[in-house]
Amino acid sequence: MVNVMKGVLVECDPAMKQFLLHLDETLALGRKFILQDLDETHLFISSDIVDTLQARVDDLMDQESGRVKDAEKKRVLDDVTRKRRARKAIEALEQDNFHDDPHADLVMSKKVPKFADSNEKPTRKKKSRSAEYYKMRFRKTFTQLVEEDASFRPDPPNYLSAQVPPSRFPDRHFCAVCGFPSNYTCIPCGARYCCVRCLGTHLDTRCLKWTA
Amino acid sequence: MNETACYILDNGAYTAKVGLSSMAPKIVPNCIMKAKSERRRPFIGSQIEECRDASGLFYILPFQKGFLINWDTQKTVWDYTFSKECCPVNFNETPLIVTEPLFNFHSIQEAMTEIFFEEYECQSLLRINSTDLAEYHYRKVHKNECTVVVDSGYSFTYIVPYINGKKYKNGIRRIDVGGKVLTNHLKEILSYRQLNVMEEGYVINQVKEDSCFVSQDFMGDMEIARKKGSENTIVKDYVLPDYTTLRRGYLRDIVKPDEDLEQQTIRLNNERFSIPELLFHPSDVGVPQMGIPEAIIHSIDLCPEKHKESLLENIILYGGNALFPGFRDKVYNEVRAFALDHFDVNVSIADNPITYAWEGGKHFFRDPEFYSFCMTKEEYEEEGKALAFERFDI
Repeated sequence: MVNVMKGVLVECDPAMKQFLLHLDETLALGRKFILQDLDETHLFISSDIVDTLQARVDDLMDQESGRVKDAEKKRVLDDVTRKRRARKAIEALEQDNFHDDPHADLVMSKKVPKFADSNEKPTRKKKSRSAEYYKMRFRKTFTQLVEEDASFRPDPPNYLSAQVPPSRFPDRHFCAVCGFPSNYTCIPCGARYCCVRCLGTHLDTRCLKWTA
Repeated sequence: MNETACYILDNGAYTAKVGLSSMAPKIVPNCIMKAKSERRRPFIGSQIEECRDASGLFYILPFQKGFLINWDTQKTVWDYTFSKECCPVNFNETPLIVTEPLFNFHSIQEAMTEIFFEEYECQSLLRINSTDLAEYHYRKVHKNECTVVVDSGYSFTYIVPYINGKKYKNGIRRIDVGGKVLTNHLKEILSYRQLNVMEEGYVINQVKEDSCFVSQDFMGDMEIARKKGSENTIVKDYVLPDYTTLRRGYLRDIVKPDEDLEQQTIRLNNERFSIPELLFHPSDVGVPQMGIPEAIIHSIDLCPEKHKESLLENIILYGGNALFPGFRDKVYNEVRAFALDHFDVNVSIADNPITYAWEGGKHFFRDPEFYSFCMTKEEYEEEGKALAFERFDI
């Protein structure tokens, strides 16, 4: 006897197929609906269940979608961002202080007596200028000075030309976590790591945490 | 003008080396520091020795990237330095030698001339690169023709070839890695790996000075540092100062936890040699530049062919980073490996790398020609700052 069933062919990725099989097995929609498990990516299901199934799948995807989550995790930093991060790291190495002035909130009282040896000073003819005067007099930032130097000493040798060129040798790579030689690169951010343990630490602490 | 002594100020970005040539130099931190523990008082220069608790020190430095930028800070430190409290001097009677960085910017040079003649009323002044003084020192002892001076300081490392006592400007090269980068990098990795010490620049600088060394076999030492137990001869604990019983930390072997004496420690393993390694491979922290040995060869290659032999035979290292154990050997081995086989290579290190240039100033003062290099107050008043540019070859 020939048994004819009306059905719909579903094409999906293997993970989604597994999910559908699961729904079928647990009778999540009230009954079994898969007519035939065709292959890795194809199923044949009863046509009357399609609407219910679609709603159910949409619901579940909204609630907690592993794939959406994965896609976010796979965000890869572009070259510009990586370079910016690298530049920031080098700039950080130039900092004098990491923290703020601990006395910044202090209001200096003018009544505090000064114990300078003032009783011996009058021998000097000229009153010495205050530090503040020199601050105002020679106020120029480093960048201004470099620019100025370019016009004052335009031809090499000068400050800029004296910088050594890059090395002839290839860069060496060290694990960003433990400092030992590393063989692997973190896909999202390009940092180096040496083993799965360090990768875990890196992902938990630094990977995309600083992205500006 | 035949004074018996001159005043030498080797004005470094982190420490100034000062004193009369007739005495031993003093090393004065060239900065103002503020402590968390003492709210009312900033510490100028060596006053920091009076500070009871140096944790969380805040630095105010006159130098930025190796150049004098913050003049108010510098003026305050100089006022302190020249006062009775530190290292008194009467510039009316004593000539002054003051050092400046190579390729010092025009307006900084102008300011230097002005401040010493007008504010401190110097009678005679000599502004000079500290590498010049170091080279003079070296040449006085070795009687050689050409020298390569390597000054590895706080802000950067300079490689300067000298031919017959004159610096060969086209060959001068700078690596933008100095002690500051090393300390900051150590601070960064320790804070990430173990204990947040981001605010402890002062203490971590001491950790660096006390624990780091230059590895002769970098990858080999990395393998040793991977090992566990007694096979690992590199791993040590650094006991941090607590400023009640201990003022400066120290390095000790790792002890079992039950012997714990409630001291705060930092475990140092590959950090001990990967930090100074930055001087040899700046690219390890992303600075796209050559390391010291490669840069020495690069610099010598820029010099005239006939002087190369003499240059390679007279390489002198000084500056704070030269204090790392193994520094000379590594520079020697790598330069030897880079240089052509038929050349001799000789690398020497200053007896006291910090004061080497200062001592050079002492020798220079005894040079019969010394005063011809100086500029007097009369000359300054007559001809102004333009003469200073002609006379001082910065």
